[in-house]
Amino acid sequence: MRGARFVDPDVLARIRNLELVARTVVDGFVNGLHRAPHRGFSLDFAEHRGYEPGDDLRRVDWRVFGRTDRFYVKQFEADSNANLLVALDISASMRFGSAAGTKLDYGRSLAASLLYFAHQQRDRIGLATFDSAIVNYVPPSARHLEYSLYALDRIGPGKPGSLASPLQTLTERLTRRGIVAVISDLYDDPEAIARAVRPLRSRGHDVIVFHVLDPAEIDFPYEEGSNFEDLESGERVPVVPTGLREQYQALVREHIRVLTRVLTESRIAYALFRTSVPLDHALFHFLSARERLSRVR
Amino acid sequence: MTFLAPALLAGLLAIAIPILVHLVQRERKTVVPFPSLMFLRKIPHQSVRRRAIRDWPLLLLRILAVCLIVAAFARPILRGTDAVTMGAAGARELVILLDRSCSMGYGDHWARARDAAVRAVKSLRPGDLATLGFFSTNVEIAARSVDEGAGLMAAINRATPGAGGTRLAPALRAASGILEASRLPRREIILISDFQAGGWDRAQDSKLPPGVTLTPVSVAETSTSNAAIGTLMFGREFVPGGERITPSVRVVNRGATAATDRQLSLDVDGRVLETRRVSIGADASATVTFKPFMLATQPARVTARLAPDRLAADDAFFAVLAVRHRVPVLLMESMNPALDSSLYVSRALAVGGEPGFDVQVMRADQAPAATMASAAVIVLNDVRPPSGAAGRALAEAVSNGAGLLVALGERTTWTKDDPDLLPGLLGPVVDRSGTRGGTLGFVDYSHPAFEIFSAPRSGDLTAARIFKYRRLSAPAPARVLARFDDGGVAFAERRVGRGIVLAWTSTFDSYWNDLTLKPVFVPLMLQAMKHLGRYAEPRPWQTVGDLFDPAAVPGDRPASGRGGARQTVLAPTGSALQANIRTDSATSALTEAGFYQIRPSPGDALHASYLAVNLAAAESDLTSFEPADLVTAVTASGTNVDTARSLTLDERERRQSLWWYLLAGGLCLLAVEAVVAGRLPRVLKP
Repeated sequence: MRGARFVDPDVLARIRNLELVARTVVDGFVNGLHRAPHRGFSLDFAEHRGYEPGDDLRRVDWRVFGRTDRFYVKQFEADSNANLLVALDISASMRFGSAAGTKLDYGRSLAASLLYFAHQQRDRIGLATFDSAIVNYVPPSARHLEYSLYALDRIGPGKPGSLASPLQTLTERLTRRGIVAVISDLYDDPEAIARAVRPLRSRGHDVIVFHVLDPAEIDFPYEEGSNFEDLESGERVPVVPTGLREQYQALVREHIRVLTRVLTESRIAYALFRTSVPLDHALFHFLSARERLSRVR
Repeated sequence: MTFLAPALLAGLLAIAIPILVHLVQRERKTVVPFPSLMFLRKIPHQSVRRRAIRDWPLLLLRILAVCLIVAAFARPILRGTDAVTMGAAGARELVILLDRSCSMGYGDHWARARDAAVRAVKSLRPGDLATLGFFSTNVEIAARSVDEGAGLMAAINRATPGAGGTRLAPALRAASGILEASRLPRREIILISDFQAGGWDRAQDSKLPPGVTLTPVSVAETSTSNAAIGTLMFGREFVPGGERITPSVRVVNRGATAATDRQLSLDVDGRVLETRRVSIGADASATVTFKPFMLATQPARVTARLAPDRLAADDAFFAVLAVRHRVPVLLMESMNPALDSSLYVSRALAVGGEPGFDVQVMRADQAPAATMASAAVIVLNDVRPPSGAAGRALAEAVSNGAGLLVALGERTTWTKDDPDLLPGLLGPVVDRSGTRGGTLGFVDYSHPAFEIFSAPRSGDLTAARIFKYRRLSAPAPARVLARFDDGGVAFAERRVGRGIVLAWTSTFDSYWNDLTLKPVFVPLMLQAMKHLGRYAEPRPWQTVGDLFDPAAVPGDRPASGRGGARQTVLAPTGSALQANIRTDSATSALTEAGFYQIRPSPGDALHASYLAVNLAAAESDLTSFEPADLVTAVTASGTNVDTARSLTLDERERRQSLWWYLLAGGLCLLAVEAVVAGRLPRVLKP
């Protein structure tokens, strides 16, 4: 399978036993592990609600009628397959890496892992790559794993990126509620990022923001005074790293803290991934946390 | 430590390069790709200039590498090895030999040689003894085995280059003699010279004693330019009133560059005859012919001068052109001579041009004493010698230096009453006509009369047939010069007083032999007459170093001017050299180039004669040889020769080859620097 190299077998072995549990129920036609947002036909009782004209009489719980002399309709939680769309930022800034791989490599592996895992759960998967606009879009489908991995494999040179425009486009395209995983280095104002992501959430999507950063972007370990060049704009700034390292680290910490706050307030999941941390390890912890949160709710 | 090319040490300024790189260049040129400057822009800007040097080990590595490489190019030489090879410590007997030959006047040779001598004197330690010797053609010891340097310094400062040639062997022999007599443990010769190739005769045995250290100090230059006057040539032609002389000057350029448009003038007796301009190519020569002048009765002093160059001493050439004198010959024959008895002799002498002969033929009994006294050569041609007063006059003339040629024929008688001049006892006639005559069986070709026939195909004396001759016994001290093939004496010679008597045991006609008809007869007669008349071609000049003999001065006739007078000799520089010349052996060496003035008496300049003296031609050739070859040649095996010190700086540097190690070390340091720099924390790479 072309593009399968992104799916590290070791990574999949670690996360195969986990369930990718959507925090909210989405519509679906195939019984699956995700709870659908609509009540349907299933073995798992959900709740009773009062009878309304037009309801199917077969769904009236007669035992409750016998005890209460009122009509209640019995509702079940119907499991369905969910939509998973991975939105991967391929802008020029994602091509930075101080270690063996770049952030883009890391994000590509992460996207492939998520897609493959969802595919194994018979979820519908789709992919969108973007910089300042949507570059490639694979609509969610149960049979689009190959297309998605192929698209991941064919990512070309990136341009300066932004979140607002491409996520707006995605919001308009995604009619079925599902899971949207945004993978980006989020070099923008946190409020602007939140404004870009909130529409997805408002449309009922379960949005997960994967913040991918290189350790050098966080720790700023440079020693030599040099000209620092912006990968996206090409602008150069003479920098004495030793003199401003602490300030830089403080700014990055503040950025992450604000991001976490504003996204959480918007009920958007946020996860920071360092490219130095093994992908399987990071993914395992993230999905575990998601599962725990899901049970609590 | 010293350096062969110290100027290259200026390259140490390159040390500033790595420092500047550390301070400025690197941070200005390094570009670090970074995903976003969003956070960096929020931080107030700081100066990019480094305030302190980081990575001191790296910087030191780079500086050290630069130092080593620069030092390698400067070609270092360790002096420590000299000290090591100097041998055992102790007092030193030092002989400083300073070349003051004419060639040392070239450029700054003398200044550098004098500096080297001063350095050698300054190297003396307490207890050391030093000898200072100046040498050129001869050796002059200025100070011997002294222990203080002030006198040596003064002598060095007074010395100037002379006019002598370079001869290394006598100087080394003199130094060897001094060192052999020394009892000091260390013995050393410092030889300061330009080491002209012509100054060292490799055939001469000049081995140094064992244990003597020879340190040559060469002031020679690898490339020299020197034009000199090689010689003066004179075309001579007898014309009425004297001789017409056409002088030619040969100019030699021994340098590697052409000498262009040089002025060349010719003076005769102090007056400029003509001035020409001459150009000579590199390592070439040219001959310039000047207009002729007349030579009448007095010798002419001729001087050729070339515009001075870096060696001015050889740009002048001197000659004294003497008036030629004809040799008076008195030919005495018998009362009734044969028709051709003197014909062949007279005709043969008439052919001679250098010198010419004035032949006067007389009957033996009629020759006046005055004529005999004035004749340079007297010929007794098959005649009995004069007797009585004439006989005594003949004997006196011969005793005073005149030559006597005796042809013994059938008319010749020589009794005890006759003058005792014949080289032997005269015997009877030997007739060999019955056997088709005899030939010359033995000839002493070393004799001046026969020397010209010694070479192959230069004349066959044995071609003559001898039909009759007079037997002659020639006991010592007479010398038999030639014998017939039957052993009879053909030519015999005897010295009487200052004169020479040569006897030919046959005749000069065509009856007793056919020698007169052979081609060898004319040159034989001319050579014999020159020998008997003591004729010597006057040399227009002599060479510095030759022995001075006043009898050889042109115009100073042997018969009239020899001895007895108190002569004064003035050197070309004007210094009066009082020479009390009383005997033939009173000679002195010529030490200056120019005209020596020989006055019959101190105040008699009017009748002074002149002697031209020129530099040795070899002094103009500044080609030098390798001093190491001299060291190898004069040091015997097992000699404790300090080969390290005997080498020139260049050779010592080549032998030590320190530059190679320094360069290799510098490159290794650069390699280490590259490795270290690569392993230092570098987060610049994206």
